[in-house]
Amino acid sequence: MNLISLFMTSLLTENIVLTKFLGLCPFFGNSSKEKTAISMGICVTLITILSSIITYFIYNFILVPTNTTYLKTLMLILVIASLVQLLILIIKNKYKKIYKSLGIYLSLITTNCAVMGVVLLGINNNYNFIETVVYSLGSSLGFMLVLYVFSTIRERLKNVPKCFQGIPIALVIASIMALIFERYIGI
Amino acid sequence: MKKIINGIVFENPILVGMLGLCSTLAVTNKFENAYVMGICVLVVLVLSNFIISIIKKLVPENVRIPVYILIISTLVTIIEILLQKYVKNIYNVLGIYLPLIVVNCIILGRALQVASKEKVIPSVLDAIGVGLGYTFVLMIVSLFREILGSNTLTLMDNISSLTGYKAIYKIFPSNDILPINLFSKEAGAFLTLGLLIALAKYIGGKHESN
Amino acid sequence: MGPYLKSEKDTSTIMRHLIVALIPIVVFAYIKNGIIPFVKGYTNIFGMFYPLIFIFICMASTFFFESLYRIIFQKKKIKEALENSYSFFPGLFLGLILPINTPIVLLILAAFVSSIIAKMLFGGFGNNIFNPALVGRLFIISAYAIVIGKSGGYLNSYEIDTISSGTPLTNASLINGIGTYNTLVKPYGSLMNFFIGTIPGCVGETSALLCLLAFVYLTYFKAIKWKIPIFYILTVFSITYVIGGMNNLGIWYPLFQIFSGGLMFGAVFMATDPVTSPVTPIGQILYGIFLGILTVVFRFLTPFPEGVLTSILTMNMFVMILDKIGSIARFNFKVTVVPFVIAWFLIFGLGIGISLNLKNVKKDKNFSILEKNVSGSKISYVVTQKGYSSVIKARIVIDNKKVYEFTVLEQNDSFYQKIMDEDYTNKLILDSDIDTVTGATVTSTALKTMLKNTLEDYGE
Repeated sequence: MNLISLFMTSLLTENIVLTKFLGLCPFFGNSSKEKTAISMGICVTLITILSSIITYFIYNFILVPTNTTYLKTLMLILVIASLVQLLILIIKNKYKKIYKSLGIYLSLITTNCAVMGVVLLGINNNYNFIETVVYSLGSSLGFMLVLYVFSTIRERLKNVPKCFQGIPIALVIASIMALIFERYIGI
Repeated sequence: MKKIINGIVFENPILVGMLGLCSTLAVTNKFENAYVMGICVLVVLVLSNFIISIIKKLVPENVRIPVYILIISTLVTIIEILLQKYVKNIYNVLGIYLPLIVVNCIILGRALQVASKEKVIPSVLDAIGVGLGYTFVLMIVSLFREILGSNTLTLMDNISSLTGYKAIYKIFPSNDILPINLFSKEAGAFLTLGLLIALAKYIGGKHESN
Repeated sequence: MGPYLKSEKDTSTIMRHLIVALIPIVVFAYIKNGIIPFVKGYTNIFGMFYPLIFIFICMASTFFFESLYRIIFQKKKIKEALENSYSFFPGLFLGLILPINTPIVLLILAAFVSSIIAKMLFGGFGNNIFNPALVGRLFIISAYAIVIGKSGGYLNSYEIDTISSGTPLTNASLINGIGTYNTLVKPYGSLMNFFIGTIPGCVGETSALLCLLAFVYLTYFKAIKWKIPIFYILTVFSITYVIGGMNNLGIWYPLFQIFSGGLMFGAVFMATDPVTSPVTPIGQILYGIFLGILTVVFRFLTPFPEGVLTSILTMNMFVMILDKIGSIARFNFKVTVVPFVIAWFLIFGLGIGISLNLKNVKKDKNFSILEKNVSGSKISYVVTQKGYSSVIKARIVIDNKKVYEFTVLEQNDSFYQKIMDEDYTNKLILDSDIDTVTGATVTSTALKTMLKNTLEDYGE
């Protein structure tokens, strides 16, 4: 039951976008269309889970024993960057359509705060292996959920006053959503 | 000098470029956290621009991004180690957002846009400008959030181990309406930043039409 | 296909019907919160009119803020700006759904949030995503719950003195387990009280009867998306019926759930808000069903009492998705199968899951019943309870709700070597409200807890 509550918490109550502010850049730039939101979400989920698994091993079996934990940032970014490059290669060859629509945003996953943040949080919270996987799965699905809902909401927006168009209104929506998600404690 | 002002106002990374929002929202709950973060980013930015503009000719085109990322993350790791050793409180408070400077779009963005193209001195000036712009925005947001949200103003608390001072001020006399503790929470952060960016857009729009 | 494409005439007719439907509710709110306390002597003349003033302030504030916004930002001339006819609607709803003891400054703040942040910033009437009144209420409750609680919370001046528990739902959340008719409904009168609305709650949202009448009226004049409240309430009824059934509660239980917590008001007026709810028929049905599911989830699984509020605002986010499903469903009915199947599972799964959860979760883990022998009205238990360092075993016989016998059979605690006589346990029996025992230690606490747990089981 602990794993289930961990999953639900990372998905809803401590949603990484609305409570930890992670993953905002693609959130605001990308979220205009539904399909891109979903494909983006899936890519982020994959990268996050894989990165957290690989990082878990490297951190616990290499860094900690040698007392070089301060290298975790460097190590992490290298892992993420290589995974992203790998993913891009795969998508470029197999799913050309998706590559065309996502374009540059794929490379931007490397600098996506969400991926790095989730893995770092996993390390900081000292999760064991299964907890790490569950946590990254829940968090990235939470990211995808918010991204998707956001894209559908944004399609509906018309007549927004000029200086609020784009990011400001998105932030207002995010604040209301954050308020709502606060009430999901305990599920 | 013009370049610095340019970075602060016209190409302000947050208000105009909409970059680096993650850390802006996260660390602005206290004024102290805001300016410490701002200083860190400023330092990393200046140093990275400096280094990158020096070696820009040595790096082949297609490995630019990974190399720059490596440089930036090394710098951030150094700062992490320094903070962890000397000012542990702040290190703990900033939490994961300190290593997240690595993926802060501002630094990489500036490196790609400016440092890889221009000479050393303009790059450094640009870095100073952008870094100051970032810090100012952080300070404004955190002023708003902290005063309205928890009725305090923390000038120096966690870094007191470095400076020896503690300076936390209470602003308004206690009453029921303020503080609106909403602003110390996430929803307030989103709201404040949204309003601020809208304001910036408004002012910018007026400026253009003049 | 958006709501903002309705013609002007339709919108104003709907609004007019809405106002007519709301009048009895406003009057009732006035009577319940103003006249009755005055008549019973709990408040003065000003207090008698206060509910009306309360509602008026909310309406005036939203009107004021929206007009101000139009003048400053939309550069309209004053006369034109004041012609916004629907700006007081969020205010009216706000006035009805906020607790009566909300300080006036907070009322104005809520009005500001409702009209400016939740409505005008999105583009004004017809463009908002979230229900403005609910956003206003959410803001105030999130930030100021303690302040409101200090001034009395949801209870008006009459209720504060006569009712010891809070609102029915707050009361329900404090009860161990699922509760009984006596603990859930009786403190407030009978189920009829719930239906008419003479129970504590927000200013205007308590009367199920009036909401029902309003629903009939509005549906007759086609001024409401009637599918939404029907499916909403049906779903809540079904799930709570299953929950009640699994806990051997009568049909009063689902009715209790429906009539409390402002559910009827929310279902009829807030969920059906034309701008923030789906347009397509299938979308509306799904909206209603999921609203029901979410309300039950939030009521039972989260510590906050406002299940309706959170559900409606959450579903506001999904309206676009629901409408997409709804419009595809016109051509391809199979698309609807998936969401409905999901909903079906959730309804029954939740019903069963929650009732199982409630049965187990509040039981003391240190307590267990080894033997239970029933003979007539006498039940003889052999129970164990974990004491300070070991387990205490005792026989407790309860007859006609009185503790007949309480014998400690076996224990290893050192404390007990001293009091193995029956005097101590006799004392426990005599004081039915066992509060203080001289020289209380953890072990005697264990005895008390053991007795309490046994009594609880007897009562079920």
